[in-house]
Amino acid sequence: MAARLDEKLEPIFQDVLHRNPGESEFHQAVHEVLETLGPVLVKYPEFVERKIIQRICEPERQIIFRVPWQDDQGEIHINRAFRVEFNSALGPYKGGMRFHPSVYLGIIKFLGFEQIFKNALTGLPIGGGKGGSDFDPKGKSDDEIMRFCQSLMTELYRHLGEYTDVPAGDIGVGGREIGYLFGQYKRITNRYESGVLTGKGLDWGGSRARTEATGFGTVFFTQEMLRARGDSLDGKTVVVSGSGNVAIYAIEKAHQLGAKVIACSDSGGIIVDEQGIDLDTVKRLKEVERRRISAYVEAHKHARYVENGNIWSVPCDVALPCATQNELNGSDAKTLVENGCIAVAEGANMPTTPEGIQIFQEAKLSYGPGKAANAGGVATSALEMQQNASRDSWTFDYTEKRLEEIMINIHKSCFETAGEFGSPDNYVLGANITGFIKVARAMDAMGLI
Amino acid sequence: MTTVTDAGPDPAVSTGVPGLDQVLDGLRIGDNVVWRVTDLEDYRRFVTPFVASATDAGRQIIYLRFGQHPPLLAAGPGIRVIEVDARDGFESFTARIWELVETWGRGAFYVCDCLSDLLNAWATDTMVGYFFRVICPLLYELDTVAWFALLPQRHSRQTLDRIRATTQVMIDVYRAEDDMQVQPVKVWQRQSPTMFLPHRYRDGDFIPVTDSSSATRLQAAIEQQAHASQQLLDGWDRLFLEAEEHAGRTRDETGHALVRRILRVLISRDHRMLDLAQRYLTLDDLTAIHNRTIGSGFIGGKAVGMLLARAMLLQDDPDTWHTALDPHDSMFMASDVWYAFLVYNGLWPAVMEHRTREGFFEQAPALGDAILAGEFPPEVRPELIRTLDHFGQYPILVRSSSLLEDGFGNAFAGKYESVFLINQGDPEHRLEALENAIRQVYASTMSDDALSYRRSRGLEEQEEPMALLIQRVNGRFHDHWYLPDAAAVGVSRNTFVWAPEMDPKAGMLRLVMGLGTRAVDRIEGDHAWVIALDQPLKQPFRSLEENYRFSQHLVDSLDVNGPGLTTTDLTTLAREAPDLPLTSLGETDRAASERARELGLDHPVWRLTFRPLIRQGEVIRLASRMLSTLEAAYAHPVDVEFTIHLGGAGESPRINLVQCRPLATIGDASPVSLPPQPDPHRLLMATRGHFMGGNINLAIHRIIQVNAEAYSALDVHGKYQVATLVGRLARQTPERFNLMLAGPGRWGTSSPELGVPVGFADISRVSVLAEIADMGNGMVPDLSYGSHFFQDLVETGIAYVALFPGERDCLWNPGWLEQHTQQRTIDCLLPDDLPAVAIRECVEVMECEEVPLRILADITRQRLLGGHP
Repeated sequence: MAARLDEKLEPIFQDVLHRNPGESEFHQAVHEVLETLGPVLVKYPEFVERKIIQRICEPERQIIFRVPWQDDQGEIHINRAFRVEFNSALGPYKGGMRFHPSVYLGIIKFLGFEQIFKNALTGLPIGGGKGGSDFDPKGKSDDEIMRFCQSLMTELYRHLGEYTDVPAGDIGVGGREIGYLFGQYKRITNRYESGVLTGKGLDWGGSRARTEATGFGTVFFTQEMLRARGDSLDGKTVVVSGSGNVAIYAIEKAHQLGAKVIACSDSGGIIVDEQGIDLDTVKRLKEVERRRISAYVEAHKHARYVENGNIWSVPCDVALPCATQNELNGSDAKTLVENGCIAVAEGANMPTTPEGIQIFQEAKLSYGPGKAANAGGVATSALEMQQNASRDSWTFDYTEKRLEEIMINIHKSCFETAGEFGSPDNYVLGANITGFIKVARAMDAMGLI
Repeated sequence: MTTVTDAGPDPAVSTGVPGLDQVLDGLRIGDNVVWRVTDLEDYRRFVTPFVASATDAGRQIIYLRFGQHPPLLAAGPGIRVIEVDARDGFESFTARIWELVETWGRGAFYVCDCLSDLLNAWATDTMVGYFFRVICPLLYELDTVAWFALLPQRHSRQTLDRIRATTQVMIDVYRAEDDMQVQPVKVWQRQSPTMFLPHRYRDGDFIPVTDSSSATRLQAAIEQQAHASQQLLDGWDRLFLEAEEHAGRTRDETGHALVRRILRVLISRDHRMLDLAQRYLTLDDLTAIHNRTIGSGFIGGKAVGMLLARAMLLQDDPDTWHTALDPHDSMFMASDVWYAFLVYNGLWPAVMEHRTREGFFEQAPALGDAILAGEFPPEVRPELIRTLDHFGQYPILVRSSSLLEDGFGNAFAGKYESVFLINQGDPEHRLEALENAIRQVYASTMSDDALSYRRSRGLEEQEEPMALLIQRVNGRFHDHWYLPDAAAVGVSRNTFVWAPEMDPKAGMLRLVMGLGTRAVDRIEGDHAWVIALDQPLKQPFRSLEENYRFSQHLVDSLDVNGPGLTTTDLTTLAREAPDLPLTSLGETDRAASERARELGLDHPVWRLTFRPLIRQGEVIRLASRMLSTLEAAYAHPVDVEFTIHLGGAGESPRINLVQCRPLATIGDASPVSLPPQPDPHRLLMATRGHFMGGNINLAIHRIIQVNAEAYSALDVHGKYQVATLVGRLARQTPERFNLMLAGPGRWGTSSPELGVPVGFADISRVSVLAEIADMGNGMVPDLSYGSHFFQDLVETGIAYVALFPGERDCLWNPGWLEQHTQQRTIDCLLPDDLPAVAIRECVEVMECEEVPLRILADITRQRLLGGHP
């Protein structure tokens, strides 16, 4: 059941329901943000007076357009695409494009709304937006994907610009699609405007450390949470779920900071290596050979592979869920707490169920929610824009250094905001409020726009 | 008069002819008596008094009637006539006789029809000899006396020698002019100075021909008579000599008759296979097969399938296939060698114990071990040496090719072993390896898997001799690695149509680099490249990364310097064999190559997507043509295995077809028979099209159903909890149950609002997955067609069905489940850690163990029914 809203916020929510019928995901996202704002309105009554919340809930611009394309057999298909330019108070609209059959306006608005606050949390000058299409890349050939991307950009380009709206990738949009989209933008505008899209290849305007950013960022955030408890990662035993980019670079950074990661996983099972996960093997298997993690034991006979094993049953000091949504439930949370785990930071999006979060919070364990702990990816997009704007290409070390500073700042903001609102250590509260306040204050300062 | 020497304490048994008793010193209990006659009337002349004498003595006479000649005896007091049909084959016949002898026990006397008539059924003397070798010792052990006749001119010397060596008494009967003479050839443990002389019959007595002059004259007369008919060759070889003599005249009636005779003893007993063989195999083809065959008997289903398919293609389009199809030079080890091996190693008693209901599984391990320790009969070994000479030092593959294998309804896919031999080293070593490989394939007939398959299909009583197909492994050397450029399994009906616009009739391929083992076997964690032949470049993935992840990473090849069959990751193989044709078979994974460069690993990194080969088009064109031709010829969907040999610059690829068989059915034995007008009240579901998996005839014992309306009402977290619950229930399902999942939208989606977000590991033991296009809230989801884990469905053989309630030709009637299944409460199935009631209420578990739900699907008609159709 959803929590009751503050009496000042309930009419606002009702208005949102009324103005956006049938967009259940968007309704849910708005409700979740409004739930946390009660104390904020007490401290910032001007937000109510200036109708900042109502303005935030209404996208600045919504673009819906037709994308016709031809398949390899010459058959014509028509998809629908969206770009919701939600909020540019802090910077150009920034948010990914999603290609998935489930995409409709309500989903894009839900994602765009959340993106405003995620981006704001980084402290970088980026606004919030989201886009996508109900195009299903499943089973499409390379050529079909290219034709679709080109058709989409042929309409979308007029709404984009490095100072206006900067899309990136999301589900169904990876490096290949970003390449096709950028190529078409360049061709139509006759401008090599690197900063118009992020997620580009390293050779043509992409940023170093992008692959590593989310995993590294999660561990930087974890280190800060431990530091706030007067502790550090040094000597800690860590388990990391998953073995994709986020997990691999979380493991790498954790090792670099003196921790020992003893378990990781993929959809088939878990690997437990009490001597410490050998990251070279994991990288070889996952990044180069693209194989299952079960092959780890071929190179490390002492390690254990448990098919369909539960990684949260492996005792540890720190747990980093970096695999997928809803992978850590109440029962897993209980096991972690009973095994003496002191910190959990989410590298994945919403990996912990509400029951799990509640158990962590009751146990006073340091729990870093994904919107803060995995903000490294968003941050690197902003860093890519900065490099593009200055026509520069930073070194890996410099980029990583900037990432670390951003994550330290995110932690600091969340920690301080949580303290300011009377719940020290409650990073969920801190993360939810910090982003909102930054956006709201900027909007307020800019007058009625 | 003959003076006889007392040979032992055994009580004498009379032949019924006193004079003959004198010659032989009577018969002994345990004697097997073989009469070599030129006229069966002579045999009858001795049988009649023997039977009269024996019945007078109170003996039970069993007359084993299996010949085509007039009966020797009629049933009467003390005489029982038992008919046994030899046409069911050596094993059935011998087993039946064995059972009869055991049933009648000690003391019964036997009169058998002329053994030479077995040739009409088996076409080979070798097995006549082996039959005798099996039965004779049993008769001896059971204190019987048994009489047999032979027409020696119809048998090879080798067979006659084998029978002579086994029997206790052998008597030749000659006619010279009007005289009848007998000459004992062997009388075990009896002798006299004149016993083995010819004896002339005179007035009830047999007078030995004691002067050498008469004996020489007599012998000369006999030899003159016998010379014209005495055979040096086995009847089997004579049959094919006749075929060779008929070469070029195959269209006349004699030629047709000869083909029919040969097909019945070389190709199959199944009338559908015989019909096909008669249409496509010529007398010349059969002669060529014989020239490559070791031993006599059937060459087995796998060999037949390959040969038929080649003949079908060459007849259909000689221009194309003479160029595109590599010729085969396989050798066949025929089914009689299997029996000879068993008999030669004294394993027949064990075979008989194994044939009993209780012994079927119990005796199998011991028999399997005995087979592994067995020796080859002396006549086989030179043939094996000849086989090795034929293949030189090329690697070879010893493949099972049992009688029933690859036939209509009984694929035996993966039930028997195939053994790769690198075929390196000195000739003795290579021969030893070949013999071991053959033993290994033979022993695999005793595996639990094979026996369970036979029992489940009601085949345990049926004769299932193991023949072998010995093939040169197609491929080429890359340093010490030997592998084909690519290999594929093709199916003439695309059993995994994953997009509505795909045409199942176009067929599909599972393509791999290297040996075809990875295309044939479904190997978890690695994937053959699946190609819909009408849309060959389309893949069911959402991204390039997924494309690459679900591709083939490991390659099977033969390491001729090492252990032989080896599985190597592609990167290592590419490093060690830089001349692999990767540019034709794959593409570089740029992201992975970049990472490999950064990590100091080998790069570029290749992914086996086969896109260059597909784009080149020739293989796709040939595969399509091949599959449609074979399906038309079989009048049934087929699956094939072939290897691909890439041509040089400007040359087209060539195909080597190594297997073809009727497409098998998931579940019970085919054919799948769907009622033309099923009663809808008897159905849970029905659809036209929209299913994957091929022909299905499967009993379902448990159904886990997700309630669409309740599921849709849950929030995202609740939906994930439903997925977790379904996974737990699936894993908890007993092994003996076939399980079906039915639920709204896409199974395995990452977007819970579109369906239940299970992981594949949660449902990997499921037999049927049903996606229903109804979210219960008015939303009609776009079904996945299994694409979320398409490759996993293909690899594990899970059947998939998409149901669109309300659409024409689709029925989904969940009310049926209430009437025909028992509901199980989740609280009882999962004793602890139960999810909230709202979650449990979304999931129903229903069982129907006694009267299972049956899923029937016919891929040709594109129709699937579920219920009690």
